[in-house]
Amino acid sequence: MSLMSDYKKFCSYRLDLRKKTILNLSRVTFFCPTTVLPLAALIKEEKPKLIPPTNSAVRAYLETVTDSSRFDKKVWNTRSYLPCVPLPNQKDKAEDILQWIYEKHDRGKKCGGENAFIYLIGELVDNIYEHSEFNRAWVVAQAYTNAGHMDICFFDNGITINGCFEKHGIKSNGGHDAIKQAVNGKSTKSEDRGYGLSSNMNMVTKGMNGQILIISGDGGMEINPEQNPQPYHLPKGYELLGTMISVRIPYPASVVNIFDYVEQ
Amino acid sequence: MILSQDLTLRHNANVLFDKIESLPEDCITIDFVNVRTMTRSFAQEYLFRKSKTPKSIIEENVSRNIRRMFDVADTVSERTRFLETEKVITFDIEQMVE
Repeated sequence: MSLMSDYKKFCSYRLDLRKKTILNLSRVTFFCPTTVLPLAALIKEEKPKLIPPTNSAVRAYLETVTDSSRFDKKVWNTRSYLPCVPLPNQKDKAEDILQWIYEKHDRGKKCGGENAFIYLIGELVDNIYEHSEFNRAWVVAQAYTNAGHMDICFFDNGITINGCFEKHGIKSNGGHDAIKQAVNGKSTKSEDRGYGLSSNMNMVTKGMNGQILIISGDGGMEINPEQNPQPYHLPKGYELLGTMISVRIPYPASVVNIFDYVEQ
Repeated sequence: MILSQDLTLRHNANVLFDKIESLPEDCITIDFVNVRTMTRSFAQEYLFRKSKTPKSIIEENVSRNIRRMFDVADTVSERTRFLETEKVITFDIEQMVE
């Protein structure tokens, strides 16, 4: 399944909730990051009537994502699978969490190498703090060894890329156009900024043969290797109250020289 | 002043320089001996603050990797542009698969 299919799954759960006023997840046997992060945000915001997953492991996973007080690094150090990590609202506390993520994934040894892995996570988390004005955000990096890929997903419930542009007087033709401008390096701060997203898009698709999905407000963009980016207009029912960037890279991925992509 | 191994957030570059500027000394040596990675965002903010501070800053034990990122951040280069995109697709809620 593609990253967009994973996101559409979240949309179908949300549509079901709107129609039936109850969120029935009883038959869910697996959550991937691109589905579970916006779902967790929805559950925390709206507190809907919920039928949890029957599968106890999946239920526990969802409970940990939706209740950040249950996130305890000491507990997760002993587990064989990894949680969605909530980002603290205070920037001063973020470094500790980031270091934990890096160490849990062996500093990116199998995910493009230390420089690439930490650059990807670091730059995209920095964007969340600099631009989103979030009150809830998560990062998850999950390897699927049998499937041969790793999903790294960033979600915030902030003002969206287009919302941030509007706030700074930058015009766009909707969410998908704002995403395109951001990917092409447009920054709300200054002309010498705006490299984090574009350099990572380049590194992931060209350096790692990976895919990226960006969903923000009513806009989306899929970026696959060797193809032109595909923009999406997301009408009501598909829109996202926030921004999500999902990255899928081969796993294991050999070491990438980030300077082949950062200097461009 | 010895730095941690991964320099990531812009905010942390500002915290570093706020600390530097609170010190009484005019000349500060920053030891990069433990630094393994640095984002471009951190490097850019560091260089910006360094250009504005009245203190004299000396960097020691800067690895080739870190020096290169400083050089990248110090250069305003052409960005890779995804100029060509496909036509915009609009999803239809009626077709959503439940």
